Amino acid sequence: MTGRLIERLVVPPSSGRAVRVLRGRTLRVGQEAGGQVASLLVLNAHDHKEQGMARFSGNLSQIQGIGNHYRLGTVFSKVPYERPMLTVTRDTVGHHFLGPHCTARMMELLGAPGHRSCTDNYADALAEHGLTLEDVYTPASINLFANPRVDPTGDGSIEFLPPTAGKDDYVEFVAEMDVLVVVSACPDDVSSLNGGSCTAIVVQIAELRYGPRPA
Amino acid sequence: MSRAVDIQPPGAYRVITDLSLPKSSGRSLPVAEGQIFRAIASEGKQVLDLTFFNAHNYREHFSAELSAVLGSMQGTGGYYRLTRLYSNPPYENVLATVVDDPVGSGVRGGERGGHYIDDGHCTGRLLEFMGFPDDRTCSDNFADALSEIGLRQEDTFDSTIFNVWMNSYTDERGDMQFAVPLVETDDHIDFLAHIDLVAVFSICPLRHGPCNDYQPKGMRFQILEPELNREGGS
Repeated sequence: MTGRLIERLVVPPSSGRAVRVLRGRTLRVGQEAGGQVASLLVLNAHDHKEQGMARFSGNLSQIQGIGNHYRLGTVFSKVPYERPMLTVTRDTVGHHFLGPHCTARMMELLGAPGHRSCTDNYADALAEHGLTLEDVYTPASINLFANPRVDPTGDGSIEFLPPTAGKDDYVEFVAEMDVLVVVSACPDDVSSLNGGSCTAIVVQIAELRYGPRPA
Repeated sequence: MSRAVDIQPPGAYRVITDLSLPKSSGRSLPVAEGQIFRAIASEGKQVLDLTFFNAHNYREHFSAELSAVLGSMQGTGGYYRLTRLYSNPPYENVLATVVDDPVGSGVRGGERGGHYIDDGHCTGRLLEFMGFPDDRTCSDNFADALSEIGLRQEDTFDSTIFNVWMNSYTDERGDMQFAVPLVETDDHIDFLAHIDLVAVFSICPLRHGPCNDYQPKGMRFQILEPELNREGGS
């Protein structure tokens, strides 16, 4: 991992946690067992009204030549802020989904009404910081390791294939500002989103280790 | 959480509001339950960036991509056409239904539904990256439109948008692609309100690229009400 490890957090299967990452530090979000989606919300740690945009960050990254709707570049905050919040520095998978996380209505349509969803995970994690779902911009999430395909024709229907991420895969970011990152280890074991079973997500934070000052 | 999904519009409506708005402007309009919000491409190929708020609780608003995925799961829409417009979690209610959409139904041809359902409209940063930092954007239009109902962009989420007649798509690689709108002069789209709503919208000012066929234009809007309501019926 880039830098000196200062925090390691395991987000248990089907649960949510939030971590603060100071500007300049490295955030790594990785697999524990493989095949698991990690959905992220990103908030300015000092002003929770400034929140990350998912898909639109793909648009802005595309113009800069560093990403698109499947390949993550920089996460920008919503209007009227539009500032860089996180930038990808390493990505061992390279295919993600900037779009909705799973919700109660999706579970209902999947034939599993009442099943836990990322909405529940976010609600739990946000509550620890005095926030509610209505305070944040959901359901647009940075769905790391999700493996969807949007049909470029017709209605633009979406198909979710199982993640290709193995147990050693991860995405590493540098924090462009102090951020609160809410991580949901997606609880969808009904569809193919997590390959039919849910596992943990490992979150690590590091700070850069500088060498000795030149004489 | 659930509400009735399939409200069938009665046959006869009458126009109670009819206004033409200039190019590159934003506006908010109340649309009561049972009324229809109609957008008309009165000057030709032009994109309308549209969202809806619950008129009684602005924390509940249209959620574009959630609607696209839920539509895809139900076989009623996706990223390029929508039937049901859902609100954000934890609500996830049907706010409105598209009840008439000739372009989305394929009347003008094309490979796709002819709309773009996205969490994004043109913004200051986008135009800056495109090399036009001083151009007006949908973000400016939404700031104006939201101020009409006492909201600021900091307090809400205006970037979750039904980009009506925006003929864009995501290609196999994940890159967003752009094309000239399929819509022709005087084509329309109708949204039936399931609850009391406020329509908040921007007539997209983007003059670069094919989104508005390289020339922003004005548009026309109508609110329609069922005939029965006007005559004292239920």
